[in-house]
Amino acid sequence: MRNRILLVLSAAIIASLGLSGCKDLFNALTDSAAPTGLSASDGDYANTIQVSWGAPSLSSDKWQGYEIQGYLVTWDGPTANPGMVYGTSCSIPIDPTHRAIKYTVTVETRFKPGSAILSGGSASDDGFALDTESLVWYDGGSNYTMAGTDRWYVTMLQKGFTYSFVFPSAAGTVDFYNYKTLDSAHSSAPAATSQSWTCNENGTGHKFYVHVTPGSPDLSFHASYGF
Amino acid sequence: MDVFVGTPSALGDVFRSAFVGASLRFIASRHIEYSLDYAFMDFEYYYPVSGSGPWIGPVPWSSMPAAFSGYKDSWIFYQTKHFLAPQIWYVAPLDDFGWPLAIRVGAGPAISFLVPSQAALYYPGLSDAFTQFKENFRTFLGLSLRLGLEYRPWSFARFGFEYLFIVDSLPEMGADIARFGFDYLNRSGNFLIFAGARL
Repeated sequence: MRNRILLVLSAAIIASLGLSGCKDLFNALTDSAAPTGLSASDGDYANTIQVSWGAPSLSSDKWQGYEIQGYLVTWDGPTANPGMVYGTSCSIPIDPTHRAIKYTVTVETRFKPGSAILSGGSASDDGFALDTESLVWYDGGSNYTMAGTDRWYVTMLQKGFTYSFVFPSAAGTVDFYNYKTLDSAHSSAPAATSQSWTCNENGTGHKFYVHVTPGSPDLSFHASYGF
Repeated sequence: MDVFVGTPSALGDVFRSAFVGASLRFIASRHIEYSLDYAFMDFEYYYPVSGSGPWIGPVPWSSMPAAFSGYKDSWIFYQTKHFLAPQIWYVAPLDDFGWPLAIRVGAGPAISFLVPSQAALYYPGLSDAFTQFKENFRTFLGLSLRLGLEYRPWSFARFGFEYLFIVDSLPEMGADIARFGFDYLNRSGNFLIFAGARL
């Protein structure tokens, strides 16, 4: 019976392996002591990138006698590196001017001083901060009031439907990005008093970021759907 | 743990198309088992008549306007229907006759529920149409009655088939059987085949 349970569990684990799971598998095969399951948040927070990871296994002969001192966290962002972290998560603050920019966060396992090797290996992941609100598509359209120079929204779009934006007094732009990735789905250029896009892709689970930039600050816009 | 695939009854409207499900079973004794069965019943779709509404639905995909015919795989305006049935089973093994077979009879409540697609958060017209439909939706379907035969080639595995009846009440089922006789099986029985593994 135990063998059957192990077989079922193994199949479930293999089936659930994502990209980061593949990296972990690679690290396991190479007997690396890099952090496992590293994840940097993708637009989940307005002012931070949350980073979390798992402690590596030191059970193999290669790492006999080694003890983890902590994890060295670095990133390619505009402020100082977070440095040594003694848990398995940390938060990197992001100021409003650096939202919607992808940064690469690297976490390196550090062994206690005096060890023959000080680094157990590292793992990296991209993450970004984003301040969003929901963009809701009312029947017949609705007016939104902007506060500030631009705004990021999260919404779901139906492939084949046309989504229209009207800026009543100054030309603006509307850019669509795949949710959780910041990969461009559609860019509107140049600025105009009305913008529209007939959605031709499925995005990330049909969800998209919509970046609305009116021609002048504190303007409203009208958003509607059609087909 | 059983996994099953079923075909809908010819006339019943509970399962509109072939369905798949899983059953978690607890074997209390040689003759008594308890199970919690789950089946995915159906996708049902909504659509706006225009950019100003109103929204129509739920409808099967075959009833969608031709303008949307190419978008079935990417359509975001839908609800899913699910079936849940806690069951008690009486199992009669036929080992005494030298056959690795067992007859099983199950009964319990039949419950269905709806889950709207996430798009309802972003399209108030869709959300209103779903809410309106849900007001008249029957969450409690009635009784689930099962009759099946299972083949047990090994102690840890079994295969078989069964009829699943979903009825409002036993007197109503009795009246229907009296009226339709053997044809009741075809009219109201959902045919299931299943494969199970004992963990």
